Amino acid sequence: MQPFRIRKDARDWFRDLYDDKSFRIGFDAFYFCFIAGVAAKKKEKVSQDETEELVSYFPDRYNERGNHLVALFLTRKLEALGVTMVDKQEVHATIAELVSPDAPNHLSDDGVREFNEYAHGGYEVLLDWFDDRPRALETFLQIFRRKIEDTLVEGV
Amino acid sequence: MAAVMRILGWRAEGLRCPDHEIRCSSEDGEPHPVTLVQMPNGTGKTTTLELLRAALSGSAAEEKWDRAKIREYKKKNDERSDGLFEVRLLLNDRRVTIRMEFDFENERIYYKTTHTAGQRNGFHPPSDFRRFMNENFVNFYVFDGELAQNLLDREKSNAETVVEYLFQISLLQNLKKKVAEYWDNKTQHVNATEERGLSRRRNRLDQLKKRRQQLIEERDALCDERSEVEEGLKNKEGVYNHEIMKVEVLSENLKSAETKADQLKAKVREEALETLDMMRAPHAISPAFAEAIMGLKTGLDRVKLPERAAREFFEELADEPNCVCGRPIDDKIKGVIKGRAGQYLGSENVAFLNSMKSAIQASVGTSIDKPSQELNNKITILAESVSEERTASNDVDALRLEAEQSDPAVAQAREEINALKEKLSGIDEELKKFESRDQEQGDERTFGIEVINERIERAEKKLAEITETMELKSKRDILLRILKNVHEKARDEITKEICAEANRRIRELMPYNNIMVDRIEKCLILQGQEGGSVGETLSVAWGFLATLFHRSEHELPFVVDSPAGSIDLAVRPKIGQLIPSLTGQFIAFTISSEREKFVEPLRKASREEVQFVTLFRKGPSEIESRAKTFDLCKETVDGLNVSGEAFFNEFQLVEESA
Repeated sequence: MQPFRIRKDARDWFRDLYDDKSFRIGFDAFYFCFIAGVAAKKKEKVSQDETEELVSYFPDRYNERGNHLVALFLTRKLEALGVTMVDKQEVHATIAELVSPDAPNHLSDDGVREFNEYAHGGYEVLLDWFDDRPRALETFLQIFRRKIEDTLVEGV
Repeated sequence: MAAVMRILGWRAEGLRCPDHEIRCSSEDGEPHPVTLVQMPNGTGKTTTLELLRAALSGSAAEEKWDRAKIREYKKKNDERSDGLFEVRLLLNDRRVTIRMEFDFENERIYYKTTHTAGQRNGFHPPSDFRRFMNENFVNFYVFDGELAQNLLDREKSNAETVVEYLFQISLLQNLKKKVAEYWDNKTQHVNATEERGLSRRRNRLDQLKKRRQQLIEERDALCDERSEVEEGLKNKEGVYNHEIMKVEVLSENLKSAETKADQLKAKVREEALETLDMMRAPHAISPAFAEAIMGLKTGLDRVKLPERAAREFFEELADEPNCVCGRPIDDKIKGVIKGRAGQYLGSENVAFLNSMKSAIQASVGTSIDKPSQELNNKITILAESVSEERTASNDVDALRLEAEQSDPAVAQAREEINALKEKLSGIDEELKKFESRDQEQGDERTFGIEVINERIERAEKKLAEITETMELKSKRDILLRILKNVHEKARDEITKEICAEANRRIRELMPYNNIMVDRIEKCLILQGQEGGSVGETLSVAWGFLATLFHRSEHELPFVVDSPAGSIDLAVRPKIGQLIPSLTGQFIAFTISSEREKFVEPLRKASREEVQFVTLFRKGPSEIESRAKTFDLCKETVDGLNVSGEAFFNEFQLVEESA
């Protein structure tokens, strides 16, 4: 069972939000990286030494939203593979490869690895979006939302 | 060996609180199980508690208190230049006295410790009690409302360490050190086949270890300096605020501007946290995400995924002699069915896909845009709050600037604050180098402690190879891994049990509040919430500490300020009943309003007599005269100390009539 992993530099980038207790768990930073990666369709492979282990489930408030995150991940993966939703065999094969209902995060080991790659790529997207690391939650959230919208509009 | 600590009494002279002596033991030296010391507000309850903590932890020894802090303990309007605080203890039946001698002329404190070996200068508790007599630990048995709050604060409490010491899990850590020492010793005295290579590799390892030690010392020194600068900055900000308030014309305007700015800051914080929570749902962040996941759901519906039948159905069917249609299944048909079964999802996959589709339908099925629209509204409100807060902060800055321009003392304090902030930021910058992952530099130019650790590991491996101690190294590694796992498991199991028992006590104390401890980390983590009301926090602290001290084999006294102060009248009797079972010695500082519904249940639950003491500052003549009619009334230069339940219970009445 693979755990989620966050880049050490990404965790450090969010350090002020952890210091002021805006972010409480490692998954908070991971989540924003993942969303940025999925929005910008950017994945990145990073060596294990440069990452730190998180949990292997969707913790706290993400627990009830785990299904949505997996769904979002699957849509991006199907899109990247060029699989349309009329090709039942391909959809079936992709889901069977990435999903593992026994796992607490519903993902197979390969699925978690790719999920992590979106988060690793997402951190580089964040570095493009922001001039400096986030110092205050309120500013970070406003800019993040705006950047997501801009990216998704461009992407469409 | 179990440690039993009792406080026999203490004495204060020439200090901010009235001179007094409290005996917590009977004439024959037996400690009282429960001592209630009633001290009205302003008598120096907090001072006495702080002094007890300092005497039991040595926290003021070796000039750890600065001069300003020592000055605060001097008796007001008094010529005397010395003071004394002395605590008498019984530690595993050995008498130990700790004296803190205050020299207000030179602003210093001298500790003296007396036990069987005679008197020694300094703070020297017996070795078997040192782990309980330090700053972190003392806070758990000399306890007040603020510390109850700290139990829930990651920055301030260290609940995990206390559990480690009380249940002796820390011994496993010591064992790890011993194993490491054994390894070092072994590799030093081994006969090498290649003497030259051996000494070269050993030297390299020694140098790396020295380098690591040097870096750790440098980093620790910087961290200490950082703490000092931070403390200095806090003090300077206090001075700045004090000076600025002296500018009378501005002080009122500034106060109200600061209050407004603080309120708006809190509002922004609240709005931001609510926004963050909304943004933790991807379909709220953007309608494009909502559309994408809804598209997945409808797409799956269109291709009829998951199918109604799961893979297991066909796999089982293939093993049957006949098909559901009645035709026999031979080996050829069996192979075809098994082969095609792979095209179907397993039943667990089916269940998961169905639950994912239901979750998508529930959140965006009715409206794709709604969650995102709600987030838009929230962000608009947040942006407005941020703008209001910035305006208010600018107003405060403008008023401060005005004050700085009109008073040089304020301007100077500002300059000093800026200088300290700059210094702090410089230290932070310098501290970063110890976290560097740069592998390119040689050992002497490498500052990343982790990088050096990795090099040490590699160097140890090379040394092990050449000294043919590979096997020993592997055994050492296995042993260390086992010790690490045992340590983690022991800590997890013990903290889990403590949580369960603490929650049982908390439920007994507050059956309707639904507040529970989820786990113990550096602090107590509550289930589903960050904190509670003052009363709830105190009750959680009671539940936790009662469990902690009840389960441990060690017996420590429990000294508490305002044990029932902020607790509801309905909960107080339960706390009162809980106390005698909690510890062998309980000492509480109370005020008269705490007696109601607390003292009587406590007295009833206590198997032995409760000792009542009332201590108050000289002043109200009527109370003084009344106190002096009691036999057990002791008078000092500025205080009166009356033992006995009668005066304890009537004290409020006398005070009111006065």
